[in-house]
Amino acid sequence: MKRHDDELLDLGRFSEPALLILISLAEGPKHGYAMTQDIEVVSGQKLGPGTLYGAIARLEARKWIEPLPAEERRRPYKLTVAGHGVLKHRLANLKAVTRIAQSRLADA
Amino acid sequence: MPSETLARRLVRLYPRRWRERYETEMLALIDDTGLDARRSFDVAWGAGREWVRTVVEAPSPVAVWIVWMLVFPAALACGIAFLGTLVAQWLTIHVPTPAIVWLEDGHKVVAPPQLPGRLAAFGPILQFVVIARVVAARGFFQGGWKVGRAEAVLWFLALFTGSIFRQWFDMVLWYETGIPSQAASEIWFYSASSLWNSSMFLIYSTRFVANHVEQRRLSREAAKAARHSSVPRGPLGLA
Repeated sequence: MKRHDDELLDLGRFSEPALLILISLAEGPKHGYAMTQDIEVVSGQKLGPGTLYGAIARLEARKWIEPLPAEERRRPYKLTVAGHGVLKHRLANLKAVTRIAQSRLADA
Repeated sequence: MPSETLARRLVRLYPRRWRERYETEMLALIDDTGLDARRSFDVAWGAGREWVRTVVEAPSPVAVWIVWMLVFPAALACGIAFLGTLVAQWLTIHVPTPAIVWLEDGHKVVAPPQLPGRLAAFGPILQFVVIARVVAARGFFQGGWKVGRAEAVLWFLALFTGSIFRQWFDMVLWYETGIPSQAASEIWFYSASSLWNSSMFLIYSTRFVANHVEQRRLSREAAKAARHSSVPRGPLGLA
């Protein structure tokens, strides 16, 4: 069986935007513009509309996020339980990598 | 062009099913963020990726079949023929192979260039050898593309060399005699379509023959098994 963090990496070039979207939605439901604003504040990255909706479509297909009823033309999304699990595992993995990297830097 | 119109046109590049689901909210996002050159490229690039995704993840085997058996080979043929055009152009300029023209009783008689003409046969022969080899090994075109690296390289070489020499032949005739009166782009197009046609014919005819051979083998085995079956049969051969 695949680990959750591997599943996120399966998204290929969308794995990083997908991770940023999951992190953004961990705070609460957001629509596209709110996500791009939040991601820019958190990571300094400006996701283009094509990249953002490419990642959203893939996350929704995997049922890691789900759409809420549309507010006029904007549709908010929220993190699902499965998406929460994927994000948790990915962050734990990144934490382990960071710890190793820091210890190597300290040794050098 | 107003950015709203440009946004609508760019979003129209996406597959229909994708637009039905995301068009409205994506246009709303573009309204909020604005559309500069970087975002325009991002939207257009995203459309290309969605088309690829639509085909790759399509439940319809027809879409996959169209891409893998028609579009992909056509794109490959165009690419190989283009490389062939470049090499053939170089050969035509640097390797002297004059086509001889006689005028006999007012008629123009052309002797086609010998060397490119002979070498042009090399490509199809090599293609035939590759196919014969993989068919002998079985399983090449049986139920999938089980092509090894060696076969793929040989196949590419066969197509490439065939394309070079055929175009060289045409270009020598063209430069020396004006017959056929063609531009390099026409020679390239002819080569690409010819590569695609011959490859498709070879692939499907080989597949047809391989399937036919396999069916006959299965029929023979079934008949043999029936003969050796211990089940008693009635007068009409029914069990």
